[in-house]
Amino acid sequence: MLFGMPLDAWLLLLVAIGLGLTLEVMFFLGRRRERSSSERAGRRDTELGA
Amino acid sequence: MTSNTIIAVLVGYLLILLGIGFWGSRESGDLKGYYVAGKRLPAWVIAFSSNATGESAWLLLGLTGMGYAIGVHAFWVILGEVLGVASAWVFVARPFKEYTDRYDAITVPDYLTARFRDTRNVFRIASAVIVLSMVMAYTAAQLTASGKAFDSFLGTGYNTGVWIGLAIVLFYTTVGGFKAVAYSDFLQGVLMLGCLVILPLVAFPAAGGFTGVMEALRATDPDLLRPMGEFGLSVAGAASALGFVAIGFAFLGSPQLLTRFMAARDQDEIVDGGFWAVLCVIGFDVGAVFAGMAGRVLFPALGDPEMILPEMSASLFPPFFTGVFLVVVLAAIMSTVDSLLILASSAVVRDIWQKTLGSRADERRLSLIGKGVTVIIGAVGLVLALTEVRMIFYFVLFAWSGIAAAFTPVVLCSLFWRRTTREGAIAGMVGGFVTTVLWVVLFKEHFYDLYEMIPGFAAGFALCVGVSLMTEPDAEAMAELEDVRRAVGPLF
Repeated sequence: MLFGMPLDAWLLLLVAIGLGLTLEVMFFLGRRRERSSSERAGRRDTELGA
Repeated sequence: MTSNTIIAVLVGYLLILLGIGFWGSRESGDLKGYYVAGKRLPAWVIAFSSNATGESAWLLLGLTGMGYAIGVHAFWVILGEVLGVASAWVFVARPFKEYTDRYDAITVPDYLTARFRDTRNVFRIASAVIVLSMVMAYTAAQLTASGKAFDSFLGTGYNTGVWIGLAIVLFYTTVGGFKAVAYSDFLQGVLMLGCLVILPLVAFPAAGGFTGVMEALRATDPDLLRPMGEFGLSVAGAASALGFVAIGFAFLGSPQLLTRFMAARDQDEIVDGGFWAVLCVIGFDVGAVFAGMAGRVLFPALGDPEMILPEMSASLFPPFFTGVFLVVVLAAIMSTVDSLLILASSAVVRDIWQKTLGSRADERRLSLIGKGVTVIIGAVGLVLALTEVRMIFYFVLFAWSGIAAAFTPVVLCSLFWRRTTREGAIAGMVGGFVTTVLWVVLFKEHFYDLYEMIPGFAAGFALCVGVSLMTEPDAEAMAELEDVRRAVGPLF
């Protein structure tokens, strides 16, 4: 029991929020990383071209 | 005095909607502008607008009512919806956007027709029949909610409430097209989120704090704090929990939500939008369920659990906020009705009139016809809502699953399984829809009231995969799917 709510109810709530949120955060960070590395590569190519 | 304050808030909100309608009208002159806002929407608009469209009045009246009636058993809805929204943005949105940009598609049947090289327009005709039948039921249910909301907040009478709700939606939808729909949905989504965050924050202290509410709920009925509710660990409990989770499946492939991905400016908007969409749906659902639970302690003898939100807003807040809450309920209704009307209009004008019947009318004329069709579909919904006062959420959940079971299995197979064939996709679409309807009419009450979305999805997937394995896939389409995968890149 935590703050009057049973632990299994807390667990269900945490899983309900955590699963989707973790999936989205991993995706968001992964794509951001991908985007910035391709931007860096683009800048390097431009500098080499110049 | 109280009534005047509420009316002033309402009029202010309606004027903003009318302004958005006029503002959007500049881009509604051709079909691409009218149905997908020229494919130029930013991340924050598609995120809030897809959630506001997906949730409807069911979120504010139905889910708060579930929190009131069944307590933490409603957490299963949160699990399904958060997972559904996150999966849609992570897995579905980018390949779907890539495909639809390649095809210059502006409707989901446009996509399916091009993806499966359907020269006979079977997808367009089947989609139009399914979308029109479900949209009528869905719109009528939302207009019923509008009638009830106006009547309970302002005492206008049910019929007047239905008329007012429809007149406003029809105005900004026909004048402003999808751009007005998406931006007004954004505003409506923000209002809904604000309401559902504030409501429990005010209600819990009023009901004795978080621990106090939980103890009061246990004293009222210990089942309110059990994840499996009154059923316990049983087949009926599992069927009930699975049914709640399945509500979220629809986010993966319902056309009124996929349209948002099509209308995004580019792939980067989808990456950013997904983050906002998931945070938004968490706020929506957690706020609604907890508000209902606190409401159970504050108003234990309420006859209709779905009236807990109006009851709490009238009792816990000053008149200005009661007006805001009326606006929020209307926002939830309108944000769904406008998208459904646009969807049904696109099915008639783009898929049947222009592509199947081969109309040679120019874009401006087709856009005008689209606006006329929007009005006609709204009028049919009005007649249904006026002639028969229905149970709102029974029809919402039925129509929600009818559309989702027809489209989601097929869309998912088309995006991720290269072996999917045209015949398999048609079988999956028709089978998923028919199973949903038959389940409700013939079987549901004999199988623990299992929500129709589950057998509808099962039949849709089984038929799509089974028939695809028995037929020959198109080699060009298979190569194209690999190319789309490469273009989209890795997930993480």
